[in-house]
Amino acid sequence: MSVNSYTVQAVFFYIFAALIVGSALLVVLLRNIVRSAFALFFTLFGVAGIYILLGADFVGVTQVLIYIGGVLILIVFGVMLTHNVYSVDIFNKLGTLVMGTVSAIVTFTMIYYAIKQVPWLYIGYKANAPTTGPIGRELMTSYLLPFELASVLLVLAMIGAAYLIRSEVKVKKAAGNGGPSGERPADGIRKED
Amino acid sequence: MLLSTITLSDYLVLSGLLFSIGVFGVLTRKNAIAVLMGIELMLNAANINLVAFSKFIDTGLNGQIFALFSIVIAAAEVAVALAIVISIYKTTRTIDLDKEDTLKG
Repeated sequence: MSVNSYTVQAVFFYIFAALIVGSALLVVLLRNIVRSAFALFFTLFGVAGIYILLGADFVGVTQVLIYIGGVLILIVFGVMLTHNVYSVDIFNKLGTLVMGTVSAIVTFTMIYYAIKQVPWLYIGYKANAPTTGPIGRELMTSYLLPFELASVLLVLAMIGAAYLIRSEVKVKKAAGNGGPSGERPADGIRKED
Repeated sequence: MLLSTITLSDYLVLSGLLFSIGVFGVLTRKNAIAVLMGIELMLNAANINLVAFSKFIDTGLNGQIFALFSIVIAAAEVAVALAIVISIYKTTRTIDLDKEDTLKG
């Protein structure tokens, strides 16, 4: 590979790194939670760009499909269903803010010095090859058991999430006091099943 | 030259930076969903590590497959966590983590 392609790679790395770090800072600092969710979109997109820069095309596309298409949509729905969007008082008290800043800086310093102290062995340039076929082969041979377990886990998580949302209605009906929120038009429908 | 070759440690530093930002978000936000977003940032930082090691150290695809499993588990985790958050919101009408002290003895 020529030096030129390394330079292009470096330029793209710094673009994606700036995108990730900037939008991640926006995610944790913005007071409006909807804006945080949109900033998270750019963070996840930048991470997908980093994956593709690393030659992991399948993981990058999976990142776009699952994180941006799934997790982010779920989070936006969560924001809309629970919202306290315009509450100004999103951050904790000042003491917690200071402690959070200190722990974040300490964490990063520890990670940074740990990284810089290790003499990483370098296996040389690895040409970027399509990874979809090899990943599929690996998943069906060496990683067959984790693959099946992951599907079982997904089914369990889906059933668990549905159960968590439903069971709360039943408990409240059994308790009979209605709680602080008695209004739910779906109650009459749910009584039939 | 300013733009030298990007090596493994550059990716690791980027990942550490993202992880620290996630730690900050988890520790300081009050909104439960904002805390979940911080956790997502930390999970993404870990995945960057896995894929970078797969490129620079490992000769096979193990790191990328680990990242795939991690993404699957993150999807399951966020589904269950949001179900819990919405369930709590239905009960107490708030997702302010400072006010969720029902279990405090």
